Amino acid sequence: MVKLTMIARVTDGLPLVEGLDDGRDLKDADFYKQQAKLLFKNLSKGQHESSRLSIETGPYFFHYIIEGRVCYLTMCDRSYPKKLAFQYLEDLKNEFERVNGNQIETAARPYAFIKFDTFIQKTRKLYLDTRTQRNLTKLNDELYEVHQIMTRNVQEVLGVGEKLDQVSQMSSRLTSDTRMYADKAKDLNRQALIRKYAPVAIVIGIVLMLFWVKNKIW
Amino acid sequence: MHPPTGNERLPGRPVSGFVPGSAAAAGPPPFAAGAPLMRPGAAAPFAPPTQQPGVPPPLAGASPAAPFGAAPPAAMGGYRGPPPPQGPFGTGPPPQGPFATASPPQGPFATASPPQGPFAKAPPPQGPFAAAPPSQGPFAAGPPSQGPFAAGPPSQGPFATAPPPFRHPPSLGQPQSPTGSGMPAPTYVRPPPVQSQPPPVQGYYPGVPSSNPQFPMSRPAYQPPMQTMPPPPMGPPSSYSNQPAYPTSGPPMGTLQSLVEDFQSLSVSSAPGSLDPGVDVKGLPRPLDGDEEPAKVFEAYPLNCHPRYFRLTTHTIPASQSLVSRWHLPLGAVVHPLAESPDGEEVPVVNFGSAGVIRCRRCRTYINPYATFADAGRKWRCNLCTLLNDVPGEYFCALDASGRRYDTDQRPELSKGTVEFVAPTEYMVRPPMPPSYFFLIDVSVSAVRSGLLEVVAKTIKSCLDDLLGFPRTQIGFLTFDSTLHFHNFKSSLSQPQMMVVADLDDVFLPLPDDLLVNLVDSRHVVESFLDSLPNMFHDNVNVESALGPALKAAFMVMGQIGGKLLVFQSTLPSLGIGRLRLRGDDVRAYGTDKEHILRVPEDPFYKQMAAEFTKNQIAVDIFSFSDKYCDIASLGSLAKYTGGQVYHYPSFQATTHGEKLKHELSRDLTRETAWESVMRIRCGKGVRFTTYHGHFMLRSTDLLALPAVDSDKAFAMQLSLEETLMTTQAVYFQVALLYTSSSGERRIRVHTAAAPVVTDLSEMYRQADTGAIVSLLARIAVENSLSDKLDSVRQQLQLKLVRSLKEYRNLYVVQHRIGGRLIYPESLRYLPLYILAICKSLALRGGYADVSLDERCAAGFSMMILPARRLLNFIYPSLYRLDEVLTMEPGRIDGSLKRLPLTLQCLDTAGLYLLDDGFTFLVWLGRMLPPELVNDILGVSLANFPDLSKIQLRECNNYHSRNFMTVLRTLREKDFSCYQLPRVVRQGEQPREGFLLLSNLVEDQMAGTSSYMDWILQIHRQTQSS
Repeated sequence: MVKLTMIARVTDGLPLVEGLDDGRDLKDADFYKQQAKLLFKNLSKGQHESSRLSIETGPYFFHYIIEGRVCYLTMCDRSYPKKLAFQYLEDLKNEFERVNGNQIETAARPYAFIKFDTFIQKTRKLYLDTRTQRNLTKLNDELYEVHQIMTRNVQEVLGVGEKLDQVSQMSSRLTSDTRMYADKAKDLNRQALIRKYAPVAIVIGIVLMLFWVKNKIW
Repeated sequence: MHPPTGNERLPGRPVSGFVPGSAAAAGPPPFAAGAPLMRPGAAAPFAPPTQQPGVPPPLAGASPAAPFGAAPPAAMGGYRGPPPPQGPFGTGPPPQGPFATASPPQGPFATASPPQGPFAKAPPPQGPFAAAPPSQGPFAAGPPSQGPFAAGPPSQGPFATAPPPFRHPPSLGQPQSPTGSGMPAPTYVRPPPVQSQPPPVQGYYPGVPSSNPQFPMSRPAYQPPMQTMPPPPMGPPSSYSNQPAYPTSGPPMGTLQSLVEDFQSLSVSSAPGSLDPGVDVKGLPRPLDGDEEPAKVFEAYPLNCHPRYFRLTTHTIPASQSLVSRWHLPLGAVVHPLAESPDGEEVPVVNFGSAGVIRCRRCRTYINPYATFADAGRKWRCNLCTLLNDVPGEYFCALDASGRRYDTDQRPELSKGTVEFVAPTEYMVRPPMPPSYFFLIDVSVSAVRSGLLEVVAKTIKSCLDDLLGFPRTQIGFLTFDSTLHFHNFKSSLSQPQMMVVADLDDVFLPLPDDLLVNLVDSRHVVESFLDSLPNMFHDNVNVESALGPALKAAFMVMGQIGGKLLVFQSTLPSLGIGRLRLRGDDVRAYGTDKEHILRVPEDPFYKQMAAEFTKNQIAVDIFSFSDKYCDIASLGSLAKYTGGQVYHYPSFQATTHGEKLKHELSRDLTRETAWESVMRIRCGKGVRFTTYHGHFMLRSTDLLALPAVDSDKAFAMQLSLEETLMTTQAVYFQVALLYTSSSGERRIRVHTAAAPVVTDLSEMYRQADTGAIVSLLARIAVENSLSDKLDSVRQQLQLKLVRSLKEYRNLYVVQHRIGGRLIYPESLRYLPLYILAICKSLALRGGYADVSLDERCAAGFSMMILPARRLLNFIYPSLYRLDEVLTMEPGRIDGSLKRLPLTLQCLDTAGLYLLDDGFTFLVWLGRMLPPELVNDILGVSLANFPDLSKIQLRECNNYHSRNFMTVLRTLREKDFSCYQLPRVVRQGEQPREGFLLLSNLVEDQMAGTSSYMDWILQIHRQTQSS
């Protein structure tokens, strides 16, 4: 079942529309909306690898498509067929481009196309029940292939930027650490040498001393 | 003797005094029908005082003088000089000087006249003069001369100051006051001139001779001028010399202006041994021009927002605590954030785009015209907290030599006091909500019988096209009696489905969706529902009403979205949670400490429910129709805490009240509304807003949560000083309303205003704004009535007034011996009357029997939201005489409506009067009114229609009726927010006349309340006793 629907501009992450009664029966809707917004922010930084992606989050899936610098995102139950979710997004995309296509770049305020939410609601209702004849045919439609769409975990996706930071941090730590290791190794080496030859030297010294004493006495 | 007294007075003071005495004598009768008309016309406030009936016609403008006549004449008479001067007068410019002198006497009258105290005075004198000298002709014409005055010195500028001095001393005060040396004189003077003079002219003359006695009095008046002027040599005695002196005086006065304090006074002492109360009833100040917006403030601070949005009770901020404690009136503001501009002017909208809204880092003030830029434009200094902020790169602009940005004029936020910002995403907790309307309709038997359902259904249907927010509008209905009826409006249905839930203890929704639907999609279902609604419950005989459970159900339906909940309640809620009991009929509670309990909600359920509603952005409007008690006090608290409104239609009958309900309901549904809003008012360092009055929920200490707010609602708040001494020059205020418009845009409306800090109490009085003070006082009084007895609330009001006038008196009483006069600042001249009117308003008047508890509470709720102008009209309604107007050309009607004082004396038995309090039109038919006129207007023969309470006024096919309807229409067009229901009452038709009309004549004495004159005397006595 479709839980959330949001449309945003990819270039700056500006939200354009949000479905109205979305999240009514969702307890932590705010949490997921926040996550979706983070996602948009990440996208606006240019960190997206593909224009279609499914992202796993808790018991739900985010699905999004990016087309014409607009990101259409929805959140569904895990059990909801991926195929239907993407068809739903396609429907939204077609209508949105038809109605507002030429104003997308000039929109200056958040939720500039909020009127589109009536269409979202209507479309959403069509997709609510996966067992309607209409949806079943769509599911069986082999033309629309979703297999190649990758699935990621939300932590991965949201973490992409974070991880890069981590890597560079780790590598710099690595260099400084290796330097330290090198120093320490040299030090240990010397100590090992000392440990290895010190007893021999001492024994020889004692022997020589004995010889010297012996010569004196005798 | 006189001279000395005169000397003592400060020269500069322009004091206007009423010559009550003189007028007083004439007093009572004057009101005769003819007279009242004149006064309004004359503009003259003067007129009223002055005139006896006789005079009016000729002098019109000049007439005012007549009253003065008494006093002035005396002065003048002595001088005689005037005649020569008159010449000059006639000529024009010079006249002023002389006038001024002359005017003094008039001054008193002037006070009466609201607008131009000073001016008014000036002209009047002429009248007298004219009479005296041959030149009358000119003078008569002269009244026009007032024109010059008025035009020239705006109001109180130089003129006021200058002339007044003269007047005040002269005449009035003294004559009557025993203290005055002229004691004997006064008595002489006033009565004779006034009464004697049917023809004003002659009257004066006679006065002259008598003037000797008056002289003394007049003198003081003159003296002041002399002191100020160099010419003093003239000496009071020489009348001639005075005149020259005066002209010269004119200019100097201007320079002295700053030294001069102006105040007005009213003589109230009676001559010893006479029964005459000593007050000129006609001369008392009356606000016949309605509310006066403090336009001067706007001129002085052009960067401020317009006063219709924000008004301070005094446009100054006292510099110290001690000053605050001497200002006994409330210190605060009235805010009307969405006020409609009369000329349809749009508020400029600003979008900062990527720079984000520019605000101060520390105090979060929005950028405004008073912010200053520094560091070549890279920083800006917040005018509220003086913090230096960075200017974002996108917003940078270079400064010119004076430190002003080059783009100031192109940016409304830097040049206008009122702007709207487009709010970026950070200002949204959720996407903008769609406007949504949910109707909760009581369908119990009383609603069916009164025809309520039909009117409601028809009205809603007619408004469907105009509901806000197309195409996102959401709509839903729930009807209830002893059960709840849900209606399914699914767009695929052809007929709505009704689902009945009888379980009131555990309410549940029978359907998850489709109870609140998109109007565009389900339009046909909604329409068919509205068509069938009246018939659906036609045979319902259920008398119960389960309002509480219905509210809970409504909350479940609309909790997710928010919006407007309209409750139509026609009986006392009797079932389920939130049931109420009959409690309003306990006579014994009145006058005891428990009295106020009847005016507060009985069941905490309603307040809790209101809190829940506000949290979910739901505003509740209550429409109440019961003919019996239905506990508006409890129901109203729903509206009170959700930013809603209470409409009360006692004994609703569709035939009579239908029209009113129709207009008000459609106004409610179609007026521009701001949704899910919050409002905060910030102010500069040193002051703080402490209490807020109005309909809202206070979230945190200073954030007003307003689920829905519109142009019909205003808010008031009180200020306190946090610092003992204010060091800044000015204090700034900023009102910010963050809201979602019906079109789904999130906006921030910002009003900014500055007020100077003053160290002088008299300056505070000078800048006082009566409208704002009355608004604030009325709200405080209504709130106090929820925790106190009505009687003590009224006493508190009176006490505030007395304290304030006493303080003001102390400012001047030392310099001027003004025993026997009530003095008050020009700016507050109507305050005593308005306070009297608040005490007599529907919400606060009388005791148990005077007003039904529901009506009292409903009026109280209305007074809490009315903007200043409408409040003033509500407590002091407009009274017009119509019978003459009806015979005029339709095109001239608007200009010829003149307000009359609210007293029975104004009502002529041969007249037709209309009283408009903003909620009702009351048509009063005099006994001697020609029957044809009455029949024309009513459309039926009066004789055949004994019960006027059922009559409906319709436009009939005759001249009078058409004109009459035009009048009603013009009056309604002045204010769309309410529809005045016309009610007709005949003279002497008891008891309807009593409670409809007589109780609204606030200047008259009613059971247990004082008349305006008594009130003034009472106030005066109290200000004197210490």
